[in-house]
Amino acid sequence: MWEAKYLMKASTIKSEKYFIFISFVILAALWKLISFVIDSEIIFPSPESTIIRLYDLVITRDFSLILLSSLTRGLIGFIISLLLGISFGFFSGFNRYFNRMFEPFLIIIRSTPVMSIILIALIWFRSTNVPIFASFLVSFPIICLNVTEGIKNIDIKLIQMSKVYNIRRWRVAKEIYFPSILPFLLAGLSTAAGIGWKAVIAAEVLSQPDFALGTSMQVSRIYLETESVFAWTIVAIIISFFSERIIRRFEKLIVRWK
Amino acid sequence: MALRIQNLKKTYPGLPVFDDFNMEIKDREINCILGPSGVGKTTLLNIISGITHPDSGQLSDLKDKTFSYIFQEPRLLEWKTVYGNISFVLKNKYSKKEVQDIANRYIEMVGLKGFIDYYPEKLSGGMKQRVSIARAFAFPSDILIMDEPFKSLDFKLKRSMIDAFLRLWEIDKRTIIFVTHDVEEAALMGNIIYILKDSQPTKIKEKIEVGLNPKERLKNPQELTKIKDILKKYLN
Repeated sequence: MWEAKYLMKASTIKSEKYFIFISFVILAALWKLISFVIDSEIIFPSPESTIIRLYDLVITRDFSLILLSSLTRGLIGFIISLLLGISFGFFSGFNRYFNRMFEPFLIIIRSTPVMSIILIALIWFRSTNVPIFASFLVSFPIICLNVTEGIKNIDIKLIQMSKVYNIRRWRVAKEIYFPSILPFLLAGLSTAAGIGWKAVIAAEVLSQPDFALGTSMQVSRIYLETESVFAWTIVAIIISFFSERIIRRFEKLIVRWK
Repeated sequence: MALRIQNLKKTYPGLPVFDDFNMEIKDREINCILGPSGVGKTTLLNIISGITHPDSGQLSDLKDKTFSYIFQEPRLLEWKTVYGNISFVLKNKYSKKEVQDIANRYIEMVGLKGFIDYYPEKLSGGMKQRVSIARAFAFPSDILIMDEPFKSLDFKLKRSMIDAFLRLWEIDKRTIIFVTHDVEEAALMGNIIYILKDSQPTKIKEKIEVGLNPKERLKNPQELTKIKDILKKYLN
C-alpha cells in the first residue's frame, strides 16, 4: 500500500515536470509566432535574437558587476525589512494597543504606489540608495504583518499545556513560540523577496545608479535596443525565480513537520 | 495519605459554583468525578491543579504536588516527533540518558515504538491521544488529571484507549483524578466514583467505591452492567 502510494506520487511528479516543459515549448512557439507576424526586431524581437543578445550581455566584463550591485541593493533592503519587520511584528503580535496604533502605518505604506515611494526617495537619497529604500518599504509591511499573524496564531492550549508541565519560559519561547511563527515568517519572506526585487529594478530605472540592472534596461530602451530590454528582463526573471527557490528550499529544510 | 478538599467555596459573579464542598482524593486510586456538563467539573480540576484560586476552603497536602494532564485534545507540538513531544516535558527534570530511557519506555508501553520518529500530522487521532497519555505518565507527577480525555472518540477507539491507559496504570499506579460525563467511562475506570449533582452550588450526590479492579471489569460484562445501572440510577 505504502509503496504503491509513493510510486504513484513519484510518477505524478515526473509527468508534472513534463507539463512544465510543454509550457515552455508553447511559450517559445508563441513568442516566435508573434515576432514573425510583427516582423520588426525593434518592436518585438524574436527569441533567437534575444538569446544571442543575452549571451553577448553575459560575457561582457560589466555583467557580473551590474548583477552583483543590483542584488546587493535588493539584499540590503531585504535584510533591513527583515530585522525591522520581525521586531515590529513581534510587538504588534503581543501588544494589542501597539497593534492598533501601528496598523494604520502599515496600511498607508502598503497603499502607497511604488512609484510614489521611488519618486520621493529620488528627492531624498543618493541614486544607489533609492532602490534599497524602495525594496525596504515594500517588503517591510509584508514581513511585519506575517509575523504578527503568526503570533496571533499561537495555540493558547499548547501554552497551557507547557504551564501544567512546568516548562521554563525560555524553552516555551524557543520550542513553542518560535516554531509557531516560523511558517508565517517564511511565507512572508518569499512574497517580500519577489515584490522587493521588482521594486529594486523599478527604482533603478528611475534613479540610474552606475551599475544596475534597471539602469541597463533604461539605457537599452533609450537606444531602442529592444533585444537588450528583453534580455535584461530574462535575467531579472531568473533571479526572482531562484531567490524564491532558495527560500522554499530553506522552508522545506526547517519546516520538516508538514 | 489522601488529599482533602474541605469547605471549598468558589463563586463566579451571580453563580455559586461550590459552597461548603468536601471531597477526598485517595492516593494511588482512580478517583472519578462523574456529572453532567456545566456542574463545574473543570473548575474543580483547575482549583486542584492551582490554575484557579478558590474564594475559601482548605486543600490539604496539595502544596508542592506536581501534576500531569491528559486533556480532551492531545495538545501535541506538531513540529516535534512522538519522541520529541515526550522528551519536551522531561528535559529539565532528568539527565539526557534518563530522558531517553523514560521516553522510550513509555512510547513502547502505549504501543507506538514503530512511530517514535513520526510527526503528529502523520498519526491518527487515537495514536495522538496515546502519545498524550504516554507524556502524562512519563512526567514525574504526583497526580495525573484527566479532563474528559476520551470525549471525542468513537466507541471502539475509546475502549482501546481505556485499555492502553489501564495497562499503564497497572504498572505505574499514579493518583488519578478523572473527570467525565460518560457513565460507561466511569464504570470502566473508576475505583472511587463521585457523582455530582446538577445544582447551584454543586454538591456530591453519592460516593461509590467499586471493589473490582478496573482490569477485571473489562473481562466481566455482567459486573460492568451492574455498576453502570447503579451509576445511571444516581445520575437521574
